[in-house]
Amino acid sequence: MNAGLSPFLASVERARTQVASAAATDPEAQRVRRAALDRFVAAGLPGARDENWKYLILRALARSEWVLPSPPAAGVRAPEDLLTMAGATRFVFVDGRFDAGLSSPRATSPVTRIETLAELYARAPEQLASMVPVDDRADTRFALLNTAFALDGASVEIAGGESPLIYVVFIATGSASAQATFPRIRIRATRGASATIVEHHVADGGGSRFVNSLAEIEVDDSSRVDLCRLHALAAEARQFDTLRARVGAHSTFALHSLMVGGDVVRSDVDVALSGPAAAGQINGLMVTAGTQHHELHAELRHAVPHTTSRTHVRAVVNDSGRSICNSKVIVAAGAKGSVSEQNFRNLLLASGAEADTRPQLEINNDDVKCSHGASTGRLDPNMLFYLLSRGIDAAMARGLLTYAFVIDLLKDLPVAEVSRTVARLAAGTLPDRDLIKDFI
Amino acid sequence: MLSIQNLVVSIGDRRILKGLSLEVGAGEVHAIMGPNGSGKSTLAQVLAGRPEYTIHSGKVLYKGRDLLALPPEERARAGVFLGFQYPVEIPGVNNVYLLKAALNAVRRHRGLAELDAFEFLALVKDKMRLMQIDETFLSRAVNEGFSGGEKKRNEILQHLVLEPELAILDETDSGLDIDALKIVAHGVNATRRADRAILLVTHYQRLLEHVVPDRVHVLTDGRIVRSGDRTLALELERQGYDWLRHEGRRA
Repeated sequence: MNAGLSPFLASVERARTQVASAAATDPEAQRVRRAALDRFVAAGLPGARDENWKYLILRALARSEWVLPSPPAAGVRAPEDLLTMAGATRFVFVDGRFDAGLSSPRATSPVTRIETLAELYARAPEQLASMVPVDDRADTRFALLNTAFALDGASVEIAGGESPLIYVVFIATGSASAQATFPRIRIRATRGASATIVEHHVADGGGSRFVNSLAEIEVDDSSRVDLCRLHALAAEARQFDTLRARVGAHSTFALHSLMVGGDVVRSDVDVALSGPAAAGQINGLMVTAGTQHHELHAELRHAVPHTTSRTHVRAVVNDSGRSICNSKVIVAAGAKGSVSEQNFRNLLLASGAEADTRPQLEINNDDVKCSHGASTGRLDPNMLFYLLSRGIDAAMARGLLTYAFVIDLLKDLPVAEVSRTVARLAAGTLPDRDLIKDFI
Repeated sequence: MLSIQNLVVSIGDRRILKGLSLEVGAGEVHAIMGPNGSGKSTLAQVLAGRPEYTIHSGKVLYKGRDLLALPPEERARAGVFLGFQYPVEIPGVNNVYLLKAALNAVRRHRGLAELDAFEFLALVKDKMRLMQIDETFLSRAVNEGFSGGEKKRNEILQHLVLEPELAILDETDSGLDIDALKIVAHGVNATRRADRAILLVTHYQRLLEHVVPDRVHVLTDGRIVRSGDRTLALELERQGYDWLRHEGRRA
């Protein structure tokens, strides 16, 4: 039977066998994983008829093979580009496994609990069932795949008035080519909690990688979560990512989706505003060069009255890079007084660069305030001439203005160190980066 | 210093300068006056190297060199400065960084060592006092959120720091109240030297009360139709431009 499978699905089946034969796994966990895997296989890989997948070369995805990671060698060193943030709890996973050596001691408090998913499920087995994405929307498939193979992950629960800064790092290492990792993070904030979480995807060394990540967030009862997701994988890595968030009463979820690395990065974001006065924010940055391909698919649902959302996405596309942003805001029939704003700006730096933006609004009642705007263009000739007229070199002027375009979004980030790092990483892929180094 | 001979320039299908000639010597301040749409700003932009314009014929010599052959950044380094009528806001690029990069580009061209951060800041703060610009300016982005008056003062601040040999100030007086006008005029006068020239492009003569020009030229319909000393500006103030319009057509 395997003979007819694409290399990708054959890899799935090999991994299934490998996981099934691993002893000492909790039977309930086995059952949950198997169920998720069966649903993934039933859904299959996306095909040419899937509107949401039309930008990727799906044949390349189907042809790609991957293997589950072998346990990493002892004493993995932290990659040099990890962030240094004062007061942050660092929580590190190497190839999907928790690494105590690279992590900082976890501060315990009556209201903040930072633990691994393994610890969570051991403590509260009833949580296992919540691992599986409930609905069967088209882009659930990679969430299901993650559920089937995630070895571990991070769980953050805050239930009260603390404002921790938590740094979760997922390092993909290993010398094996096409190694797959399944990073996973779960965040629960309630009772007036406020948390800033930095999620960093990074590869240690080159080589092709398949990273299938999942983030699940619940913010409720006058809480706020700021999540900075730094997608900074090496040039040959492909990342298929899913984020699902539910925002309850008087709560805010702000997502800062920062794509600055990888060969292919696709992130499917689903935010449900399900309590009164819930707010959702998406700040997206995509910086591509060479043949890099970034996609952000965001769906923001206003389910109840008086909810607000704001989506700001900026893309810089150089060389033959490609940047895709599909953003859909849905206002339910009863969700009166909803306010939504979507704004997209693409900067194209080369004739082979391409940016596709599709803002969508689905409004099912009259009493709403929704706006959207999108622009795609090259560097502003007035700004360029102004810099040239001051004696600034043409290449440097272009680099400066490109950098300025990126900075404009980064100034809204809640953690200065993340802004600085993203600015540096983004600048590293910009043309004429050496010329503008004094400005960074 | 500057010699413009029979310059013919268009943008798109529209011919704007129709054979303009002008001589400006070192140490001189010349004022170009004229009604809206006469080509004043086009002249300023063409001298600074704005790429959208097409030069059909004519010559521009700057210190004996063919100015039109140089790209805009090289003109700036060679000592040509344009004070913009509408200074551009550049979010994300800091004022001070721009000024430092601009100054060092000019200094390299002149064979001078680059200023270190300390020397540079001392220089800028000194000039900022002259232009009555407060210190918050240092941390702001280029012209971002500046009032009209602040933008114009920033242009003159750059003028003071960069010390160009030929400064073209395009309607630097427009949109200024009388106090700001005096500050700007004071700044411009501070740059006057025997080896530098200034071309003031203006619609009204009120700036010329504070920056007294050696020569005044009237530009109408793409040509200079009348030149004289500063009394010409006063006459224009009394009679308006209509009095000279027919001369543009006849010439």
